[in-house]
Amino acid sequence: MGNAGVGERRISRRRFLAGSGAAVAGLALAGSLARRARPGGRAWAASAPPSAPEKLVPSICQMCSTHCGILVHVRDGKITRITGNPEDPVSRGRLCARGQAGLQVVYDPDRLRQPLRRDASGAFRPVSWEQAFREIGAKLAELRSKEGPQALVWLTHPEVLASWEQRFLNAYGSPNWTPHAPTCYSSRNVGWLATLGAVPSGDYANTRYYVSFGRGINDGISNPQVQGLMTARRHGAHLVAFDPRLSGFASLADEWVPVRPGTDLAVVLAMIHVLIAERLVRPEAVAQTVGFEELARAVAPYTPDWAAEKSGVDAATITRIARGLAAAAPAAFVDPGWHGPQGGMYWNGVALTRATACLNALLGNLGQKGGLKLPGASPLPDEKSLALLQPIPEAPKLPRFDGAGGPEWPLAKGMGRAQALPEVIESGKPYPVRAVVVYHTNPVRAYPDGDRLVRALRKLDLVVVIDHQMSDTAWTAADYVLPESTYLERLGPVQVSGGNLVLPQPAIPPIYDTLGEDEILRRLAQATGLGAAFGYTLEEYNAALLAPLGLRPADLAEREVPLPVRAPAAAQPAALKTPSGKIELASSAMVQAGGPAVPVWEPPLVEPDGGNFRLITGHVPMHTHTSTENLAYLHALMPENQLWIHPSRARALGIAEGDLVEVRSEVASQRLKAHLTEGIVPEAVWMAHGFGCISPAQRLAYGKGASDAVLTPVRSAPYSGACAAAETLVTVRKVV
Amino acid sequence: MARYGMLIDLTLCAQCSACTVACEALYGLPAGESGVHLRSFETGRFPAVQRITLPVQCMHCQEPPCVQVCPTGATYRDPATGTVQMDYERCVGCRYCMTACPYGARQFDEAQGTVAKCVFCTSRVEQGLQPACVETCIGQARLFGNLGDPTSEVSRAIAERKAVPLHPELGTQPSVFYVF
Repeated sequence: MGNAGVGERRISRRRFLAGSGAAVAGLALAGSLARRARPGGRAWAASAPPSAPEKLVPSICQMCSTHCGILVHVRDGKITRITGNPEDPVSRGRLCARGQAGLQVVYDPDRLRQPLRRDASGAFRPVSWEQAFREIGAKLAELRSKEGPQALVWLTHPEVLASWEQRFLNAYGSPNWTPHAPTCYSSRNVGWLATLGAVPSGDYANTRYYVSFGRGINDGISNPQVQGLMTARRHGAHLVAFDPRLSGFASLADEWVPVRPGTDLAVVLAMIHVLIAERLVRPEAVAQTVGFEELARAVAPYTPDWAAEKSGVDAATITRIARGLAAAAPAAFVDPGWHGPQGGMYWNGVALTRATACLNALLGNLGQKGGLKLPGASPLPDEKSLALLQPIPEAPKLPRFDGAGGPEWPLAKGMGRAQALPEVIESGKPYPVRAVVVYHTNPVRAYPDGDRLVRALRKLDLVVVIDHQMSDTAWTAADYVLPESTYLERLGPVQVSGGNLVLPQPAIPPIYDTLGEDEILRRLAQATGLGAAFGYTLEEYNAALLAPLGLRPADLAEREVPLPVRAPAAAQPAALKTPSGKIELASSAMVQAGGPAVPVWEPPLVEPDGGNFRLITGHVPMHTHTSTENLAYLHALMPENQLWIHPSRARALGIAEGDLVEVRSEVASQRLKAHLTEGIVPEAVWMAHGFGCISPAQRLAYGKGASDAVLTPVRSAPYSGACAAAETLVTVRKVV
Repeated sequence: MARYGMLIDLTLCAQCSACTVACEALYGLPAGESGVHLRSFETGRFPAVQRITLPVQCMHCQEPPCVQVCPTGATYRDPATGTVQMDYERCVGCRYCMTACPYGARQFDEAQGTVAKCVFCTSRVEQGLQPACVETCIGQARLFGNLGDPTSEVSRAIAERKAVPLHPELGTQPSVFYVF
């Protein structure tokens, strides 16, 4: 590895740049500043903003799951622009590139415009909504009586109408509603739920010392968290990025500490060791916890020197950052994580999340300014209490196809193990799956081993894809493609966002023959003989949700320049939702699931051998998964991904900047261009998630870059069932 | 007489390209023809590596080389705002200005046969609004205002944060300042 001693040689961006005006000038002179003009342009002075007034429609951005408040600018029935809603506490009037590009979801020339059915030749033909519902409903009803309701699996993201989807499945009798959690945050949720009984967020704006392990808040961008952290930085907060590569956040932070992939756990355990050994933990912090003595015993051997050996981060750096956190506590935190090493990229993700939770607990930062905070209770009533929704279909008692929540995967309850689908289809065990509905997710380019998944899906009796674009999954495997109205054309369920109630409302009527998911579910239920389960509309549902608060949907919608209605103050739970009511450094839930009571060192599953690489992946700020690569503005910002590789490794393989390379794992190979960078540990290669589109219907995105997910073997990390995508070894060769 | 100027604080820049898309969306530009583009430069050897990501746009120089070379007067410095503007009726598309600009901030618009660039959103500023890139910047890395007024927020921030223009040695006197 040769990267021991990393921390001592780290550089501060300010020191690096101090007095380097000449160096900066030299950089700016670099030839890459010159741009090639593009054909088809139009002069912008001629298209300066007209002075005619626009209609501003308040709504919620759905380009990612952050759900920023937006103002949709509409003139002559056309959306001209989307800006942040200054009255919304999430966006504060500011939007990232994706949020602003949202209008191209509506006007993408490659958008789905009508329902499609695949004919015997394999081509898609237009079909009426009536016929599509009739045929799909008949098939689902037949399947239910012949095979049983468990033969239907529903895959979904981003889960805006999750409760409606679950209601449909409950009415049908299938337990198999399946979110994308294992490809994203399963391990994080399992680790935090075991320790705190909830997944916390951070008080980014008020923190004094912030440490991230693989979380890039401006890579997998969270607008409000970036705004918060940059506010903290203006007030002098210290930002530390542990990451195997120089991510966007690492390049922005005060210090980048390269860490060997999969070994963050060693560093966090050693920081806990330092806090306890140096008596930097306040008694009031210990008083909030159970299991402190057990944790102290467990981490005794995890000295900074021990962690340096494992992680490549030198001991002095580990000690210094642990002391820095303690000195700034309680206005200090280690990011709870989202999708990275805590989220479930590695085999030891649950252990890392638990260790992160313990480290935060020892800082005494829970509920403190600049520390961690628990989510507030929703001001909306429990759906079960609403007369409109009676009778509530009962959740089926059948076991899930993927075992989540069952004896083998008790802690994965509610998150599923979507990656098990191909194996279940192939083996027919624990029971045959015969039909899959896919809502706004793209499993064949988002779940592991996508090519195997395509083959499996093609064996089914019925695959229905609901989306607004011809996704890779729709193109390769769907029998029916049902076009959904975009979030700018349809009503959504009332949301709680930033402590406010917000109504996702249409800015314009649908421009094509599309329907909202609510209407698709209602009519699908009718066609399947389950119409009684949806005897209400989304408008009526919203009204019923708001009525106990003394509000009507119109109160949220009828404002030209909106002021979101402040939600009633959410009551903080008196005690944590853990068995002890305290922060469980030692967790009884983990012990019941067969795990260690306190976090201990667990190695990553695989190790590169010098001839191969560990494949690591991550998000970029201009794209959301595979859903945005075909939108012109975002495509222009980043049309394809590249393989980041250290120059020393590239040279040995005869690879130069921009060369086409083949990346091969045990399950697949992909081709993309190489990017040589010193900003990555030599033992790993990195690529952005979300590319390698195989749907020719997406003309901009098609064939650009490579899919990381396709390269990933199907795996399930302990306790959480997360996909452990970074436990993938690959070889790289130049394509000649 | 004002001198409009901008501060871009790279310690607060999330590198998200919100500025690029804000410009395109406001002016209805074809994708990729924004007035702002992010450029990244990497220096150093692992692990002492630094990557700088720099939003580059028209610097609205007080001594603009593009104006000096323009044969038709299509590009000019507006004395009322201190900005560099374009008269598209007079632009013949010779691209001398693109060659002359040391910042690579100008681009050719094939469809129009003219050269385009950032206009500092002066039509918005006249209405009391901020330039679109400033309004949307999620890190609040951008400040806009009158450099001619030493008490303006942007002037004070430039002084306090020790912001510098690119290539001061060229004598172009840019109106965009950066904090590195």
